[in-house]
Amino acid sequence: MGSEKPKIVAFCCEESGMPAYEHAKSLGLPLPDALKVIALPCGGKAETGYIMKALDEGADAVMIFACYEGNCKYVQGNIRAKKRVDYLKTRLESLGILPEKIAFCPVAPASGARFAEMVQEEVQALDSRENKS
Amino acid sequence: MIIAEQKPMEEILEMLAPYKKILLAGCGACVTVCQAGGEKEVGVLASQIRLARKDAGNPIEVLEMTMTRQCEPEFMEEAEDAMKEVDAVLSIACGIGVQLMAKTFFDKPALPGLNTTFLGFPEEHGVFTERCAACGNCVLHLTGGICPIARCSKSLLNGPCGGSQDGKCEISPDVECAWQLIYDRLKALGQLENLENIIPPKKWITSRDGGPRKIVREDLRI
Amino acid sequence: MSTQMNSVLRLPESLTPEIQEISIAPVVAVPTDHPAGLIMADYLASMGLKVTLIHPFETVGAILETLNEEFVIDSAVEERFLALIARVEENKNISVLNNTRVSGGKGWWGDFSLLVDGEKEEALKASGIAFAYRKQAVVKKPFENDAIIGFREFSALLLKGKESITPTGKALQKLAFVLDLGKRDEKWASMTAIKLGTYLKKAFGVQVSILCRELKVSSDGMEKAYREAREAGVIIYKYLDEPQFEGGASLSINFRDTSFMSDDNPLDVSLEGLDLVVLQESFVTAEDEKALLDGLHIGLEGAYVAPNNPQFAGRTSRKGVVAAGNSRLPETLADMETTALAAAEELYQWTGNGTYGIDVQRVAEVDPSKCATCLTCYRICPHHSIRIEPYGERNVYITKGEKEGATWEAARVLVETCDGCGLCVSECPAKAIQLIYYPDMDVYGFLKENL
Ligand code: SF4
Ligand code: SF4
Ligand code: SF4
Ligand code: SF4
Repeated sequence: MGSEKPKIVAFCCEESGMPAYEHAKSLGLPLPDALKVIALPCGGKAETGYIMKALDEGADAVMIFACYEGNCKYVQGNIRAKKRVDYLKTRLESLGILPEKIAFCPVAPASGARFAEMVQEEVQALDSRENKS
Repeated sequence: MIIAEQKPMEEILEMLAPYKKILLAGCGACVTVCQAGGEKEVGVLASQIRLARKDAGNPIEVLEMTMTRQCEPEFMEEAEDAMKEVDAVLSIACGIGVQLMAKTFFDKPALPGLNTTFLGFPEEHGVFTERCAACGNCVLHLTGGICPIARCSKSLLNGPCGGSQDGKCEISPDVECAWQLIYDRLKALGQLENLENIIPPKKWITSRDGGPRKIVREDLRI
Repeated sequence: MSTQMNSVLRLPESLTPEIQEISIAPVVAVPTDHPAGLIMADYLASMGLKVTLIHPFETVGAILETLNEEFVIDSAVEERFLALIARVEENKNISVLNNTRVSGGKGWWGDFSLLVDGEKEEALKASGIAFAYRKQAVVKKPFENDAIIGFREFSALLLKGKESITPTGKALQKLAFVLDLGKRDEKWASMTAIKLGTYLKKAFGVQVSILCRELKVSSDGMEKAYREAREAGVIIYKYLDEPQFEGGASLSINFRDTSFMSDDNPLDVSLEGLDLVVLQESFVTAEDEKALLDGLHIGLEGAYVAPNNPQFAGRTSRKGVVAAGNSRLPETLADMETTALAAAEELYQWTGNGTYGIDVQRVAEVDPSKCATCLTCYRICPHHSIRIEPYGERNVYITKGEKEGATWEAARVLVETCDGCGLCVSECPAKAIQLIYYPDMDVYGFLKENL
């Protein structure tokens, strides 16, 4: 049985994040058991409400996997998502919650390796924080 | 419309400190449009409050509701049931909404979640600017449709101060000089002679100087 | 850690796809001043569509003269294009508006109109639009030097053969591509530099360096091309501050490289004795194109949509509008012709079948009783697929329960052109929009269950 921690919610753009996740899986790369993956038609669909709700429901971190800048099928969905993440980070900070709990992660559809790597980075960041506090 | 923005989180959390269960009430009119207090913001802010309080080991229950408009007595009905359950209401309507909540639900504290900031419009999506100070005695017909009260930093009525430079106000290079705008517009309209008519000192009695204002329309009263 | 345990919420299928048939008239407009426009008009007309070709010149033939601005053409190419022009002029399906400029456009798939002036001002109706305009290439040279040129000029030189490869006449041994000068970074330049660089290194042993701020290796093919380039010995540097150029007869470039080091431990590099420096040029958009893009709410970014799927080579951000030629990227003659055909084929798919079935569940829908007519969705929709119109039952100024019979302004999603991206949903401050097949509750429910 895998561990229940850390609970990371990954909102994945159907054009990039999702294929990257599938790719990571097909390569057998290590991903935390408690990773929750939510497909969205576009990274820009990851709304502030979704992100906050995920944290509210108990997620340790929320990651948004979207296309690289200039690659969005809908022109600016990824840019909107990034701006939202930046805005929410400032709100989290003033809540006394670490802004690193939200991450915007551009990824190419065929780079499962990068996907897994970014998730691992987030896990490590969470771990080191846990140990500190 | 009325433009408002959310108060800093620290302030909101401080206001909420004594309470265990609150209603977070948004408003479906102006503050929805300026993205400060609509249904979406209600959801986001509610999560933020819950999260912060959970983290602090002092959980709070937040009911969520977006009322049609918080500035009409009839709509207060919408909150009646929820208000029975809670210790206080955090309203993210403008100050008018907060006050109507306070008046209607006399025995529960009504707390402001927004800073009601000014009357204006979105110059572009996400950029709001002030246009009217509700002075109660409009002079736009004399000033080329540009308000010297709300847009001139000193509310001058007869031309610019000495600090107007390259079309910018002396308070900041990001602020346009209202009197430059007025001059340009009057020139375009061929009404520069307007500037020769001195506008007499304004009677501020129609503005805040006359105390709280009130309009009574006997024809409308039911 | 394992990879099998994650809970996953996938995009739902429409449970009972609700198909709405709409009919699309087989009529398209091709506003152009670029040979790619002729290729598209020819293709679309040959597929039986009614085509209006709109161009600013006296005759269709004049468009051909623009070919050699961009490409080196030999007699075979010229012949091919002369035949193309003859076909365009003779084809009964094509009506040509000579001397005509485009000053705007509006509408959506199936119902576009173009504002054209010229001989007469009128709105021209079309179900789809294929456009291709030239762009003026501007090379911002640090100083006047024949051995500093832009990509476009370099491609022309290449086509002439290796001997004449430097403008100064000597054989090319040391070459540097400098990308990302100025603000905008475009993928085409990385792609071109890598491909050309690899080719020159492999075929002629030219020493190739590529300087960039960021290599765009985000698409599939790029990662492979990038690897090949590295293996072939093309050296790729990254800089943060603009590189400094020096020299007369032999050029040199000085800059701090950050590609291997961390940002705070960069390496000063000096590339000396360069025979040729190729700079990424910036492009100035034609006035007609700008007016068209503004009117259609596409914008330059939308015209360049470079989706992860390269098969949509001619696609713009709007359904029923395709672009080719310089309206997309600078390219070789062969690439230009291929993209133009691909774009025309794409538009044919959108306009040639008569009727189309649209799954009206895979779109967004506004609840007019919640809409505050704030215009957010109208401004944000990449497909310009939302209109604010007097159709809703009420807006915020009507009390609950009093909605019967009242018609008020509210936002409405055009089912035909909505692509179901959900951008409007996530930005609506009133939560008045939902994707029909994928409501917010799905996500919230999943979060509740799994956290
Ligand atoms: S003159 Fe007074 S009423 Fe008129 S726009 Fe200015 S502040 Fe508003
Ligand atoms: S510079 Fe212009 S806007 Fe600023 S205070 Fe003076 S007159 Fe008013
Ligand atoms: S974003 Fe929402 S509230 Fe605003 S116009 Fe669109 S549907 Fe209406
Ligand atoms: S879902 Fe996307 S394409 Fe459809 S109306 Fe909304 S923003 Fe436009």
